[in-house]
Amino acid sequence: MEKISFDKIGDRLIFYVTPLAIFIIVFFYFLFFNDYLFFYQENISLFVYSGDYLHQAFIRPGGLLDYIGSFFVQFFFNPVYGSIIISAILTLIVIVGISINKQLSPNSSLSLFLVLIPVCLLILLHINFNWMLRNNIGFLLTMIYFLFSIASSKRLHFMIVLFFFPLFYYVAGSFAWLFMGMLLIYCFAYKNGSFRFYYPVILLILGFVSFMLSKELIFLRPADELLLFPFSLKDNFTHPDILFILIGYLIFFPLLEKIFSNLKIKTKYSWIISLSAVMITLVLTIVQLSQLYNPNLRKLFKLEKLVYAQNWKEVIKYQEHNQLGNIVAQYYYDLALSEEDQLCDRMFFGRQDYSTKAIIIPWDSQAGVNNISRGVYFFYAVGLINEAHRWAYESMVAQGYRPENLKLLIKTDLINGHYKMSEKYLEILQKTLHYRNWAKKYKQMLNRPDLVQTDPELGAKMKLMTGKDFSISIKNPVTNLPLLLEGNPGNKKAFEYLMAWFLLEKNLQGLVNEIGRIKNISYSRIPRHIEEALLIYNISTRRMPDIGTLKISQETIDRYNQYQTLIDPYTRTIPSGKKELMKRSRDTYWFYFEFR
Amino acid sequence: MIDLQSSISTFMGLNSSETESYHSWSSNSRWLIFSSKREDGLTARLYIAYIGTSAQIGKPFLLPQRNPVLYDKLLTTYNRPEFITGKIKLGPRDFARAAGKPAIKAIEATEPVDTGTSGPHIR
Repeated sequence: MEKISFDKIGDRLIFYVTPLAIFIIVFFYFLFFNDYLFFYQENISLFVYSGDYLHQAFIRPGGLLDYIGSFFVQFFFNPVYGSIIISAILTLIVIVGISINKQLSPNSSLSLFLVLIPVCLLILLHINFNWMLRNNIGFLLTMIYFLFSIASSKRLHFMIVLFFFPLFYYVAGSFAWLFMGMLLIYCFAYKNGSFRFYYPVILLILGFVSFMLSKELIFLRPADELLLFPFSLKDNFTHPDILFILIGYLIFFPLLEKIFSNLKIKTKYSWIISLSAVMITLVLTIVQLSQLYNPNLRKLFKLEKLVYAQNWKEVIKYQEHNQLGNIVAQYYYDLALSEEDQLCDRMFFGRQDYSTKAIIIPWDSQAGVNNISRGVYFFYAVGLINEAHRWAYESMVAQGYRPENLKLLIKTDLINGHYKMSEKYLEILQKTLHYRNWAKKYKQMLNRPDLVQTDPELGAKMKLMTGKDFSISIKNPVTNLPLLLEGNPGNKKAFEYLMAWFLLEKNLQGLVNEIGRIKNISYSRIPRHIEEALLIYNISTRRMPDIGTLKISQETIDRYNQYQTLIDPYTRTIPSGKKELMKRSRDTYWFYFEFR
Repeated sequence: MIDLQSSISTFMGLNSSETESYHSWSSNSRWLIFSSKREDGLTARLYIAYIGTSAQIGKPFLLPQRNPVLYDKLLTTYNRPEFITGKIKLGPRDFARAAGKPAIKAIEATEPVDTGTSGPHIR
């Protein structure tokens, strides 16, 4: 191979400055626009410093790549670290790509442009928060191995490359097939004589033998997993077309290099053309990013981050300010209100677009697997601790170890006095980088029911638990609430969730039938939205249910009278001139009842 | 345990207060293996007990493992133990092949399938 020699300062500048520029651009993009992916990915994986966890990496092709990816993802708890890691990997891909260029087409003016394309495609793929870091590392490893493959034209060197192909498959999984494609194209495009065909045949045989040995003898895993891992048929990529373009592009990368190297461009214009191509690629990427970028997704994950931190006041503030239309955001809002004992006082200050579905996430075959991990919070909030444990356990079985499912398993087992189980989960969290201190705190509570009872969170949940056993209904989850209240009439959270359910259903009779339970709970006044509903009931039926000494306040009656003045009494619509005024009434149950 | 001659049932002292199920007798009717959640209340482990007469029931012991602390960290559960008298002729490949065969159609569950460790859903 001819060694590269840059004649122009412009060329040198581009080739040395570009990786640095890529690092800086990618770093700031991920830090300021795509930072939610760090929170998401860090919370769907858990790197455990244990032999058992490492062992899992050895039992399938691609497992080690997954292990390496998880290792780096543990640092995603800090977006700065996360941005540095992703930027570094993408920059390394650029550097390796430039090195491949030096080998394949040392004098091509457009080689930098060719290298930039896969990096831009990878950045675009990160728009999908399920695009895992391990995939980037897989592409990087593939390019490094390809660079090693073409580093020497000696026959022995190439035989070594082929010899180590099964090992590469073991480490990188399905990325080995990408490497195979690149090397096959390289052989056809660059090798001469009979080796042009011998090498591909040997490589294909090695690939087939590696796959068959893995399937039938070594790993005994399903064919699709051996062919695709770390990808899978279940992967839900929002833009699979970008992935296919990237894979196809890399396979034909050696051929493109050859084609572009044959283009004769006058030397004095070469660096201008190169710079222009790079700039156009970057601009197109930025345009694509701006089109695909969804700011509401960022807001949703920020809200979820606040929920995981149990910063309930901020959750309420954030949702009331942003009014997110997502069902999960509204579910979290209701949850935060419940944790702050404000559910029936404030729930209509935020959007309620999904009726009762944002109160309890239904568990059925149509529910996404993420709903299992999210749905658990309702049960934990109202004190159905065994059901919360079950959902957390199902989440662990279906989704693997996650910080949140393990935390909930630990808390629910501590509440139930299942210290041995709690200890097992604590042992796992103790072997992590980011959650070991959390585990230390809860480990002190093992076999210490007095500490569990006095803990502000766990003690409060214990007080919500029922004294009577009953069968949980999954099909009709609201029916659990009256049963829970039978066993613990003072459970305010269960009562307010029950009332919220009837409010959202616009089921005033159901609300009135159950409102009597309010006497068992120490209320000094009727919660605002319940009061608003009772007023409608009272006006329409001239009846009032027994709620003890509590009464509808004059302030609520005044607000209702004011509300009525905004509505046409005959058509029950809002006159166009009063729509601005009506905005003030959107936080009332009356508005929800009539117009939602 | 029921005495078949007198039909009188007696409580077996080997039971605990936690969920226990799927007992299996040895071929000479002297040994009993069963699953029990007595250790931690959630994960089932296998216990073996010697049965002399209804009055002579040995203390059940946990199925031994090469690694004595295995159970302390194992989160998976045991189910349906059986005594065997011969060598196991099936290998991992046989299991892999069986797993790859078409599934036997079961009755459609109307509620989520339990993973087998959470016990009856009584709250």
